[in-house]
Amino acid sequence: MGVAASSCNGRPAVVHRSFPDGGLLKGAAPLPAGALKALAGIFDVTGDATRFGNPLVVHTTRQTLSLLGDRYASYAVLRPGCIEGGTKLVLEGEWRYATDITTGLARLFVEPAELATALCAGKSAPAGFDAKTIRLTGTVGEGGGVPTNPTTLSYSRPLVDLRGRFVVGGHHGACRTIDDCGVSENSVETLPLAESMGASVVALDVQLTKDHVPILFHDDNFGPRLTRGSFCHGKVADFSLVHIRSLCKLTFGEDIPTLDEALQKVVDDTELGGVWLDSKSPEVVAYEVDAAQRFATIAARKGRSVKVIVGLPDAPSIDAYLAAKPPAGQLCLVELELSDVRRAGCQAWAPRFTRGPMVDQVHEAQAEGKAVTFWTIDEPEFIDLFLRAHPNGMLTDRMSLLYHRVQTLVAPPAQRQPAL
Amino acid sequence: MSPTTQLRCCSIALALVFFPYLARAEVSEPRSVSSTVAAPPLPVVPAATTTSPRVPTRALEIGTFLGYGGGIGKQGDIGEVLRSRRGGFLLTAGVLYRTRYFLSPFVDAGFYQLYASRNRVDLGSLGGVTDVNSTLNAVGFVSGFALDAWRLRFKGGVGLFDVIVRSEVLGDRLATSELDMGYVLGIGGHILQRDRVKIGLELRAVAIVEAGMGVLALGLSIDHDALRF
Repeated sequence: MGVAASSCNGRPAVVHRSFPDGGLLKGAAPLPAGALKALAGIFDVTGDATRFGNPLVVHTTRQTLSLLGDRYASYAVLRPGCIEGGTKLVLEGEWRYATDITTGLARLFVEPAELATALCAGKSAPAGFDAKTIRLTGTVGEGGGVPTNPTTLSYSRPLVDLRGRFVVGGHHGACRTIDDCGVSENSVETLPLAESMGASVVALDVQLTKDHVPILFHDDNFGPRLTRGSFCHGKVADFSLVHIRSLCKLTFGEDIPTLDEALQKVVDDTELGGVWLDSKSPEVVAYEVDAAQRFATIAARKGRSVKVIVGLPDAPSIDAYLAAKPPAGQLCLVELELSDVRRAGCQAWAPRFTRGPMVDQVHEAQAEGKAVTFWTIDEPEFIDLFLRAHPNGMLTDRMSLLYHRVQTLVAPPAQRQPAL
Repeated sequence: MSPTTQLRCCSIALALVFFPYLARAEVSEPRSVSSTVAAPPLPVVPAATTTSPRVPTRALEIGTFLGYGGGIGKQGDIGEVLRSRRGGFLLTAGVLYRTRYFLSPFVDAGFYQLYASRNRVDLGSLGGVTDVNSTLNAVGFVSGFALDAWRLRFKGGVGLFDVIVRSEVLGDRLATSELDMGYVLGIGGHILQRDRVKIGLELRAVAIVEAGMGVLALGLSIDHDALRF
């Protein structure tokens, strides 16, 4: 009976990989921020990296270069370093099949050498440089240890510019806690990783504490599903922030962040274009409107454009939003009917995907200047199906897969939406 | 796996173990006595109602358990633990219907001390380094089955526990609770029996699954046959 009981609780653990002794990045000179942008594009693959699919999307942030594939929703997040006096640019990091627990390591070198040297020196590509000569060559391997299976990625074409046309929404951040991408959902730490996986917007869950501080947390109660702490148990609304910080950590050890801390992280350390605040109670809506206004100003001072969208999942939240008298220009999103979007004066409609693609209604909303984004879609066949309705975005736990599909399979809407 | 699925899974496991016993019924048949010697004719006497005294085979038992035990499960402490108590006292009272059959159903209610600690935490801008005192207890309602074999009693049941958290830090007090599913297993033996009262020792394990906590306790049990029929 004990065996039967214990076997009801099994879930295989993901083993996260790192290079022995820090790999070649240990001691490597850092690459200037933004230099990786020159390497973004669609790449054809030969060798071991075909395990991720072919072609691969190479997506870059200020700090990382990611390989995003459609096989098993795979992703590899690599960090750069300049070695051998700045003549070689190496990329190293872990890869994972998002749909199971398989992980491994990848090590790639940027070619041709003159491009690597220019990027390490903080310069752009040499004059007359042909992007089609860009190659990423190296090795990939499954499991731990230095990878040994050769692979080559050859540049094929540039990425489609999705700005204003399509948003890849990261559900709870980079992944759900149960998916184990190494960080907890709704944490500050998940935000840069979500961007590395291809997200341009993150959807974060917002609850209100006993002392009226908005925090990021999905459930109405604390418990072992999402947190650590023997006393981290009971209704979120019964805990003050000081008790949350004293008694609770998220599953991977992070603090439960306040909304302000998360928005500050988005502004300071990412290039995410937006944050969708999923209101878990009507009472939190007014605080979200206040935070959205403050952080729009903070972001503008730093030369960033970050759209904070207040999400309204039900009628009481819509009523609370209207009662908060949001200022002109405040962005909001409604999950109910298109008529509710109009009633609330919102700019975006987010129907649940179980209602179907609703192609006619999607086009009706877009003709009114409203952005349409479906949630939450993870299965490849459903992602493909809903992309063919040409929405303006999709919320998913499989950002790498969605980003790959949007770049390679179905073109995003041509018309840009003001809310995006 | 969700707690509901866990409960379903473990209930199936419990049923599989006990099904063969539940399917059996102990029915005592009267023995037939035959004589090979022809008895002499007896004088006619008025028929009298002569029934042998009926031995009670069922009872309604009320019982209580007082034990002390250690905590089991992950103790996820935040900060530096200055002082802690894993587990504590358990006090329960219940009713058991002792049947002619293999298993006897019971219900009980009780109070369970799970964990208490004083921790030092660094709250940064919220208040710096400070101490937090916290307790975790539960009030539980359990139902299940008991199996008596000789002087031993095996018990198993599922329950609903109101898990109560109390805490204080920087003058702020927390009081909250949550209903969680859990399981109870017990093995006990009667060491003293006088008429309707039995006194014994019991080893009891309580696992409150959704809280990730439990207690393994040893204690005294006192059971009294309030009704016999």
